[in-house]
Amino acid sequence: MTEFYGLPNSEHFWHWPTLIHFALVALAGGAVLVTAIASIKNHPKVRTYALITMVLIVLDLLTLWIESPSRFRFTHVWLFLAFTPTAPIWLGAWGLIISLGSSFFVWLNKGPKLLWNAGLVVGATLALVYPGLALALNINRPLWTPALLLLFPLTGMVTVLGLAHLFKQAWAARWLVAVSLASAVMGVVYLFALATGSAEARGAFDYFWSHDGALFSLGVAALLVAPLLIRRVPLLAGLVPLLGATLIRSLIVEAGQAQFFGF
Amino acid sequence: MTRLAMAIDLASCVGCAACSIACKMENEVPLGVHRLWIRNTTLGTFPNLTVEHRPEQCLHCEYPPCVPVCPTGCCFVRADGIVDIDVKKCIGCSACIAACPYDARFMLPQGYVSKCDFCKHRVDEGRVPACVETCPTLCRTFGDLDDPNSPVSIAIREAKRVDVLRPGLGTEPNLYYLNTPAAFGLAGQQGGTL
Repeated sequence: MTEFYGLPNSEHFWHWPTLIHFALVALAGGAVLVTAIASIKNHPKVRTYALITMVLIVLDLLTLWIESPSRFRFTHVWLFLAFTPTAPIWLGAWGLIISLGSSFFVWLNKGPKLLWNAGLVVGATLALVYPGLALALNINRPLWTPALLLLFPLTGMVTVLGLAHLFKQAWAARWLVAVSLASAVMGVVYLFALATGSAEARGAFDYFWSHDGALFSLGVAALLVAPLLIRRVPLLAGLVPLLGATLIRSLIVEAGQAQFFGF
Repeated sequence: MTRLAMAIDLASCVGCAACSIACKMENEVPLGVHRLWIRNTTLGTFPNLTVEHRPEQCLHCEYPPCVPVCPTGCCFVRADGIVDIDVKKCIGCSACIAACPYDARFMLPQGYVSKCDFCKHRVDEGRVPACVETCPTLCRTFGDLDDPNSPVSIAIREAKRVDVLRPGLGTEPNLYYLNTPAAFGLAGQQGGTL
């Protein structure tokens, strides 16, 4: 039996606005990659994609600012004055800012295109990878495993491809099917690795499965049905995997904050 | 080089929580959050019973996982080994809270992170932390690990058993638990019984 005088600071530190950020940064990171490819291939709609990318990044940055407990201390400037490449959030901040600037110049259609394309590729990589990296680095939280390094970029791409399919972009359908299926497989691999891992990982799996197993399964199922919906119900084919991927990400962020230390 | 550390003799600790109260008062810690708390664990089965009173706080790790993940560099290690926070740079992102394996960090209503800093304002004046000064059983010792004659070095050297929390994570804490009441070590780490 364990009792406390005072309590460890084990309550959740990220709340629902952070989940919105994780959804928006997935859309923003994916949109940057789409804009990068469109710009490299001289796609006729590249300026529209750049504009949508900018809107998504600004929305994400706004969410981050609103959720920040230090929003009126204006300390965020230190993100860009410090050099901390070991910090995923620093990498993500630079990824989003580089993407925003590059998208702006692609939208303007001015300046050295090669430079903006390079900026978009670097920005997209950072913005897609950093959320999973920010979680996976925490070896003390067993639900945030290295599998997230692949699962989060994949689900991020699913969200933006789902959005593109909703807006009837013809190129999105086959990529949506492929990336949705890859994300579903990765979701199952993530669970399997937990369930067959160390004693701590198995304990975390039991906790996760009993609390969020049904919802997580629903998310994976939503990714799996995308290929079936693509021709029959095009509207749902975009929406269902988008929501499924967002659900999977949110559940992992939310539940993974528990570190099962000493309780 | 100075390497500040603390040792807590669990054979002497009676769980009175005087250290926790002293910490609250010294550092004006608000309600609902704690820099220092006591974990009281009953071990064994009747009639072989004992209790472990284990004060917990920031362990000022040699390799603190909270420092490299800080995106603004506000978390840093002082020359004397204290893991510190420059609140002027903190953006309240909670990355360090996520990285801490010991639940030692928390967010203040003012929008920045806080935790035990070994009462650095007292240490800088050559005094010991408030928890050490107030402990009625003298179970806490504090000092420079690199000085073989410091109280903490002597306490560790003379202890029958020395443990740290979650040693498997490789953080190498600078807070040592001495003489655990259970033969297997700290409660909750080995899963053993008396």
